[in-house]
Amino acid sequence: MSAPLPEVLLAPDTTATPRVRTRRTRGWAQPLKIWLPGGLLILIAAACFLWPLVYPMPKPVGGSVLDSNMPPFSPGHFLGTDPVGNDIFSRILYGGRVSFEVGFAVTAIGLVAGGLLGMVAGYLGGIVDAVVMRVLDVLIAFPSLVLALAIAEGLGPSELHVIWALCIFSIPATGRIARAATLALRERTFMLAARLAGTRGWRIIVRHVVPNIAPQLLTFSMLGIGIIIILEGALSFLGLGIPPPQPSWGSMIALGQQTLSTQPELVLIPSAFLFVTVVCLNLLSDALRERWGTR
Amino acid sequence: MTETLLSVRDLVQEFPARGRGGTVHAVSGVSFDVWPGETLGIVGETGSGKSTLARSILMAPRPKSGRVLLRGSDLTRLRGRALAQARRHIQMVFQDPFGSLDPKWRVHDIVAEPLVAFRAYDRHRVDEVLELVGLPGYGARRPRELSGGQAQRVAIARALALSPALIIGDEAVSSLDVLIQAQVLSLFERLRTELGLSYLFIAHDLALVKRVSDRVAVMYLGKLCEVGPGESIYRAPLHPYTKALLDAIPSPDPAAPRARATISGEPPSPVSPPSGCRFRTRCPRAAQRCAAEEPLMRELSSGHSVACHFPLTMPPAASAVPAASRAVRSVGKSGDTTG
Amino acid sequence: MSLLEVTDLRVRFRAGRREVRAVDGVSYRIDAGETVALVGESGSGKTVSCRALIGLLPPTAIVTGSARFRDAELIGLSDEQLRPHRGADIAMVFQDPARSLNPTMKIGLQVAEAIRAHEPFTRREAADRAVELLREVRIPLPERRAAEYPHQLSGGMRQRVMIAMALACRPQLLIADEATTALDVTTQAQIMELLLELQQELGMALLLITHDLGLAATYAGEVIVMYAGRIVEQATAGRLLAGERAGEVGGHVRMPYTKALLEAVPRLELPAHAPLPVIGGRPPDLSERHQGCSFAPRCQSARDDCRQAAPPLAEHESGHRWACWHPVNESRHD
Repeated sequence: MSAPLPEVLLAPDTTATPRVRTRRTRGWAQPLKIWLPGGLLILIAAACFLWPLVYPMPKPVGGSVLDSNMPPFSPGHFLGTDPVGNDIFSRILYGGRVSFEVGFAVTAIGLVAGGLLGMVAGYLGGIVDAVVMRVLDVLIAFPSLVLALAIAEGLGPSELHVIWALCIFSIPATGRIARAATLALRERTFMLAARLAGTRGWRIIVRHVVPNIAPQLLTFSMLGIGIIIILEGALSFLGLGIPPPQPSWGSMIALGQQTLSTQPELVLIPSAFLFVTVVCLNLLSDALRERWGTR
Repeated sequence: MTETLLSVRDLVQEFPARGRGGTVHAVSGVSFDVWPGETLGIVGETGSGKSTLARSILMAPRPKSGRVLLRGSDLTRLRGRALAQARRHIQMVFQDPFGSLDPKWRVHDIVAEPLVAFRAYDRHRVDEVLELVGLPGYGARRPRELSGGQAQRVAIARALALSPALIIGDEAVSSLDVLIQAQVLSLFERLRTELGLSYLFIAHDLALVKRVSDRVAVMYLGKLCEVGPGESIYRAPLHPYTKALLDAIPSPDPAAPRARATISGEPPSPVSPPSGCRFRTRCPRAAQRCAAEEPLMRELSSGHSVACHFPLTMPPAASAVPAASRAVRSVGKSGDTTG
Repeated sequence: MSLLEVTDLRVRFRAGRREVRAVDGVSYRIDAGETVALVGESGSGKTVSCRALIGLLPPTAIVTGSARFRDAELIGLSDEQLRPHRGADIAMVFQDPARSLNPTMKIGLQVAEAIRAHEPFTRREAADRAVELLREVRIPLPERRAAEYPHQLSGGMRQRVMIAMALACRPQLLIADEATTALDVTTQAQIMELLLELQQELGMALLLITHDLGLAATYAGEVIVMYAGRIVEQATAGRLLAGERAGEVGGHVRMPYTKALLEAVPRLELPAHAPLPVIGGRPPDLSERHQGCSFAPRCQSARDDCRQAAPPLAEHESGHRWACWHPVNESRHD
C-alpha cells in the first residue's frame, strides 16, 4: 500500500483540456430536470386557481353536517369530506391558493426590498453598507419564528398579516445574498470599464449589477418559497395564520390532528400536497441554478 | 513647442497591506510625459506597480499624491462630472479580454456604453467603430460567442467610441496567443496611423513593448529606472536592471547571445522597499551610496534618462556624480526638458 | 534504445454527441539526456499529449496509440499501474505553482509527501531529504523555507519547490508544462538555468512545453511544432531557427505555420513599428472534422491540394520533418 500521490502529480489543470462549446445540446436530462418539477408546480398552481372557476365545486366552507366524514372517492366528493361536512378536495384547492399567494408575495417583496437594499449596500460600501448590514443583522439575529409569531399575534390572524410577518425572513436573507453577490461583482474588470466609460452609479446598478446577480437571487428565492410556504403552514397550524373556517394547508393539518386515528387522510392529504409542492420548488431551484450558474 | 498630451508628476499610490499591517508602496513618485502621436511603453515585472500606475492615472482609485495633467487640466483636482468629462479623452484596454466585457450585454451595447454615458449615442458610430476594428456586423453577439482576440477587439472598439486622444493598454495583448497577439498589435498600429492616437503601452515583455513604442520607460518596485527611445534602451542600456532584463530575454535566434540570469533573487516586497535605490539589493554594482541616497532621474544623453548612481556608461563603484548633468525630474522628447 | 518513444498518440474527448480531437496522431522520440521543446499555441494539443503519457487526463478522455518509456508501455495503464512510473520515471512541473501546491500544508511536508510516495522513508528521513531537495534547487535557507507555507513564497520560489517535488525520485524525464510562463523574465532565466544544471547533474531528459519560440531556441536541442493536434514541423533548434544573415531567423523553416509563429514574435533586434506579418483567422474547431491541412484556411501559400488532403509528416531532409504540400523557403535550399 503506497501513500496517496501528492497533489502536484495528480491535479489535472482544467485549462489544459479543450473547452467544448456548451450549447443547448447538453443531453436530454437537463431540460427534464427543469420541466418535470416546474410542470408539476404549474399544474398544482393552475388547479388551485383555475379549477374552481372552470368546474363547479362544492364550497370549502359552510358544509352541511349531513355530509360529514365521507370517505375519499365518494360520489360528488373526490377526496371525501371533513367532520364539518366540507369537501376536502375543494379545501385543498382553496388552501393551496393561500400557500401560493403567501409564498410568492413574501418572496417577491423579499426580492425587491432585500435585493435593493443589498445591492445598494454592496455597491456603495462605506457607511451605507455598515448601516444596512447592521439593520439586517438585527433581523436575522432574532429567532425568526418567534418574531414571526409575535408579529402575527400582535396584528391578528389574516393572510395579509402573515405576509408581513414572513417578510422578516425574506428581506434580510435576500439582502445578504444580494450584497455578497454585488461585492463579488464589483471587483470585475467590466465594472471598472463601465465607470471609466462614464456610466453613472445608479445606471451601473440597474444595467450591470442586476442582470448579473439576478440568476443567483432568483434561484435562492425559489428555495425560499418552499420555506415560506412551510412557515405559513406552521403559523396556520398554530392558529396565527389564516383564520378558520378559511382553509389553508397548515390549518387543515392542525384540524385533522384531532381525528388522526380515525381519519388519517385529513392530515395526510394536505401534508402530501405541501410536501410535493416544496420538493418541486427545491428541485426546480437546483435545476435552474445548474442551468444558469456554471457557465 | 507643442504641449504634452499627458504629464504625470510625482505620482504616489499606496494601499494598506492585507493581513499584517503596513502599507504597500505601489507607486512612489513617478513622473513622465506622453506627447501627442507617440507611444510610450512602460515595462515592469511583478511588483513594479505598473498596473496600479495605469489605474491611478485614471483616478481609479485616486492617487495619494501627485498630479496628472491631461492637456493641461489636472485630473487629481477634478471630481464627479467634471472628472468624467475630462477623463473621456483617455480610455483603457485591459488584460483579460473577457473580464472587461459584461457577459450579459451584447457587443453593440458594450461598445455604445461610453456614447450613452455622454449622451452622444449614435448607432452609426457604433457600426463605424466595429468596422474599424475588423468586426463588422458583430453587434448582436454576446461575449461568450467571441474568441479571445475578438473580445479584445470589442474592448478596443469601446475604447475608440468617444474618439479619445490617448489609449492606455494594460497588458492588453499579454493573455492572447502569439498569432492573435500579432493581429491585435497590428490593429493597434493601424489605428495609430489612421487616427493619430497616442498610447501608453504597459507590459512585462520588453521585446513587445519596444516593438510598439517610440520611447520606453523601465519600472521597478514603484519607481522609474530609465526612460528613453526604444533603440537607445536596447543598444545602450544605462540602468543595471534594464541590462538584466535584456540579458534574460530568450531570443529565437540561436546565434544571439544566450539568455542569462545576471541577477539573482526576487524583487523585495513593496511593503518594505529597500532604502535609497530600490534595486540595490540585487544590483551587481551596488555600493554604499546606493543605500544611503536615492538616485534621481538624470538625462545622460539626448532624450535618455536614468535614475542610478553608477549607470552603465561608467565603471562601477568608485565614481562620483557625473559632471554637467542637472537633476531634473522629468524628461520630454529629445532635448526638451521641463523642471 | 530511446528513453521515450511515442507512436501515433491520439486523444479524443467526448462531450455529448460531439467529439473533440485534441491530439490527432503524434509520434516522436526522446533520448536520454536530451532537451526537447514542444511548441504550440493553446489548443495545439501539446499539453494534452503530455498529460496522456502519465495518465493525468479526466476520465472522459479516450487515449489510443503507444508511448513506450524504455520498454514499458504507458498508454492504457490504470492509475495503479502508472503509479510506479509517475515521479520515478517521468515527472511533471506545471505552469501555476499556486494551484498545484496545497495552501494549507507547509512546504517541507509537501515535498516529504512526494518522497514518501515512492520511497519507504520514515517521516524524519523524508523531512531531512526534503530539505536536501530544497537546497538542490538553490532555495536559500532551505530549513527555514521548509517550515513556511506556499503563500509566503514568491512565484519563483514556489516553482523551485515544484521542481524539488518533481525531482524527489530522480525521474529520467522531466516535463515542464509552461513552467516559466507565469514568471517574470528574470526569474524565468533563473529557473531555466536551474533546470539545465539539474539536468546535467542528474542526467535527465527535459521536455519543455511552451508557446515561446525564443525559449525553445535558447534552451532546447530539438524543436517540435504542433498545430491543431498534430506535429507540423520538427528539427534541431539550430537548424530550424538559424538564419542566412545575421539577425535573420528561420531561414530553414518550411511549414508556413512555423514561419508565421516566428514572425509574430516581437524581437528586440527589430525596430519599433516595423510591419508585423499578420495571419488572420483562428485555430480550427477541434470538434469538427476537416478535410485537408488544418492550417489551410489561414495559410497564405495554400492551394487546392492543401484543402483536399492533409499532408503527412515526413522527414524530407535529414533530421528535419515537416507536413506541408507547399513548404516555404523551398527554392533556397536544395
